Amino acid sequence: MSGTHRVPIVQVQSVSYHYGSTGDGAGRAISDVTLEIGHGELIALVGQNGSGKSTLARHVNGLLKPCSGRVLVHGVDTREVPIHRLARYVGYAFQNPDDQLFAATVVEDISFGPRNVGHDPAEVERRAGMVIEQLGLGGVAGHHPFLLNRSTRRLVALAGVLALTPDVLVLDEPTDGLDAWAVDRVQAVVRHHVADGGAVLLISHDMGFVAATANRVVILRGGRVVADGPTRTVMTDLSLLTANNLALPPVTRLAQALAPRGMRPDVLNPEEFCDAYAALWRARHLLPGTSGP
Amino acid sequence: MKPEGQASNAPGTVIVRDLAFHYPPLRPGLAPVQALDGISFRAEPGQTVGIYGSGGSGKSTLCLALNGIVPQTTGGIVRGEVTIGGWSTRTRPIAQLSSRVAVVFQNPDTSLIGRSVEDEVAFGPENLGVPPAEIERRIETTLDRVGMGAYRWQRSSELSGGEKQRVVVAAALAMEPAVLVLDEPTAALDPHGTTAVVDVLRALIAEKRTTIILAAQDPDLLAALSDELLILDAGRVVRRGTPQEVFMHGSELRKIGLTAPPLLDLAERLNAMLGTDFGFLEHAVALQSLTDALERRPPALRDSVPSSVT
Ligand SMILES: Nc1ncnc2c1ncn2[C@@H]1O[C@H](COP(=O)(O)OP(=O)(O)OP(=O)(O)O)[C@@H](O)[C@H]1O
Ligand SMILES: Nc1ncnc2c1ncn2[C@@H]1O[C@H](COP(=O)(O)OP(=O)(O)OP(=O)(O)O)[C@@H](O)[C@H]1O
Ligand SMILES: [Mg+2]
Ligand SMILES: [Mg+2]
Repeated sequence: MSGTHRVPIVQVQSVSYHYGSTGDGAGRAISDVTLEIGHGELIALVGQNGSGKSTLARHVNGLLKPCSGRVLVHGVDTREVPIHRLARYVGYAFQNPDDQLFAATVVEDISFGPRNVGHDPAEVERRAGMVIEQLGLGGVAGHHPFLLNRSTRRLVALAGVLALTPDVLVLDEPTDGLDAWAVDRVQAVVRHHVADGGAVLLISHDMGFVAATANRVVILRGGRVVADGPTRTVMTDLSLLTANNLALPPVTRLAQALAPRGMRPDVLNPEEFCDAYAALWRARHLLPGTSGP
Repeated sequence: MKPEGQASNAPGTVIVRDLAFHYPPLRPGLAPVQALDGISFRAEPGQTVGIYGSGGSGKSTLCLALNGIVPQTTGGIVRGEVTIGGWSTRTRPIAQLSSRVAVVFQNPDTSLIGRSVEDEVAFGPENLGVPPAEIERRIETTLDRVGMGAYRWQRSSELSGGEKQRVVVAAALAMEPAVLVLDEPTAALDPHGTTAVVDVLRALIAEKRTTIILAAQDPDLLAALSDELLILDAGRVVRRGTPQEVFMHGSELRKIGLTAPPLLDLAERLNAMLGTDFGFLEHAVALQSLTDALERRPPALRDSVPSSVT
C-alpha cells in the first residue's frame, strides 16, 4: 500500500457528457471536465442549479460513462469495470434518497451493499451495526424506510454507502433538509473518513457548511470547471462567487463588510470570525490603562 | 357537530385546533405511530406561519393535514380539527380542497408526472377548470418567476434536482391558491433560487394576500418570512412567537437539535466571549451593531438593535 498516497484515487480527464440523443448540441450537461481526487481530500463541488454537479458525481462512481474523455478509478477506466465492483471504491449517496432506498427495513437496506460485494454474514452484520451507530439510526433499524421522515431516509441512504467503506465518498447534497444535529453527524462522518486517508466529494448549496467543512472547492458553471482551489481562496472571493451565482458564507460576508474597520476579511467559520472580531474589540476597549468590563 | 362554514372565514383562513394524529401501525399488531399532538394555530389571509423542528418532529405530517392527504390518503387516527375557510380537511374531498390549498411537497418527484415542464405547471389549473388563455398566462409568469422560462418544453424527468424543485414551486403558484403550503421549498435551490422564492412569496403576500404555511430547516428563510413561528418537537408545539422571540432561545433550540440563524448564533458566541449584548438576525443590522460596538468608547453594552426582519 505504501506509495499510493501520491496517486490520485480518481482521475476525471477531459470528460464531456450530454443526456439522450440531443442532436441540437444544446444538451451538454458537462464539458471538458478535468479533476483529480486524492487521499485525504475533502472537496466541495458547488455551482448553481443545473450546472452539472450531479452529472459529474454520477461519472465518478461509474453510473454514467463519458461521451468523451475518461474517468479512472485507481487507474482503471470506469467503462471497463462493472458498477458493482466500482462500488467498493467509490460510494455515491443520491441527491434524492428515495432513488436509492428499496428494502423492507432500514437494516436490510444498509446490509444490501456489503452482502452484494461478497462479505460474509458476520461481516455484513458488523458493518451495518457500525454505520447505524455512527449515524444514530439505532431506533429505526427495523422500520420500513418509506415510512420514515425524509431526513432520516437521507441518513439511511448515507449509511448504506458508508457500510461499503469505499475510498471515495461522493455525497450529493448530504445535508439538504437535515436538522443541526444530523448536519453535525454528517460533518463528523466525512471528517473521520478523510482523516482515515479516504476522500470525499461533497455537493452542497450551503455556503456556510462548505466553508466550514471542505478543504478544497470546485465551482462548476454551465458544465465547466471555473474554479478549483483551497477553500479559503475560493470561498472568500466575492467576485468569483457572485459571477457564478453563488454567495459568500454569511460570516465571511459580514467580515468583509467590517474590513474597513480592520476586520480580517478571509474568515471561513464562526470560530474564526469571533476570534478576529474579539481581538479588534479588545484592542479598542481594553487597551492597557483602561478598565475593561 | 358542524363548526364548518363559520361565516367569518375567508377561503384563506387556516384554523388548526388541538390537532393530534397517529399514522396507522407500521405492522399489524404494533401501536399506531404518533406524529402530531395537540397542535393549535390560526393563519389569516396575508399571514405566514413558519414551522421549524428537527427531523421527524412532524412538519411534513402537519403540512399534509392541511390539504387532506392526512388522514384521507394515509389513514390513521385524528383528533381535533383543521379547517380551510371553514372546510374541514378531514371530510372535504381532496380534489375540492385543492381549489383552496396548494402544497409544495418535500420531495419534488411526488408531484411531477414526467411530462413537459409546461404540462406540469398547467396540470393543476386545468383540473380547476381555469380557461386556456389564463393557463397560458400563468405558465409564462410562474416559470419566469422561478427562472425556468427557458425550460418550458423540457421533460420534467430530465431536469436537475434544483430545476425540479423550481418547477414544483411554479406549479403551486399557478394554482393561485388562497393557501399555499410549502415543505422545504428551497432545500435543493442555489442561493439565487432561494432569494427568488423569498421574493415570490413576499409578492404573493402583498398582492394576493395569500396565506402561507412554510415548513423548513433553514432558520434564515423562516426568519425572513414568518409572522409567527412554531417550533415542533416530537409532534408538539414547544415554543411559538415572532422569529425574533423564538430565536432568542438559542440554547433551548440546540437541545432539540435546531439552530438559530447563523448571525444570531454568531452574536451569542460574541456575547459569551466579550460580555456584549448583541442580538441580530440579519446582515445589515449585524453590520451596524458590530461597527457601533467598535467605535463607541467606553463600550455601550446594551446598544444592540433588536433585529427587524422584513
Ligand atoms: N436525465 C436527464 N436528461 C436530460 N437532461 C438532464 C438530465 N438530468 C439533468 N439534465 C440536465 O443537465 C444539466 C445538469 O444537470 P445536473 O443534474 O448535473 O445539475 P446539478 O448541478 O446537479 O443541479 P442541481 O443543483 O439543481 O441539483 C441541467 O441543465 C439539466 O437540465
Ligand atoms: N407514512 C408513515 N407511516 C408511519 N409513520 C410515519 C409516516 N410518515 C411519517 N411517519 C413518522 O411520523 C413522524 C413525523 O414525520 P414527518 O415526516 O412529519 O417529520 P418531519 O418533521 O417532516 O421530518 P423531516 O425534517 O425529516 O422532513 C416521524 O416519526 C415519522 O417516522
Ligand atoms: Mg444535482
Ligand atoms: Mg418533512
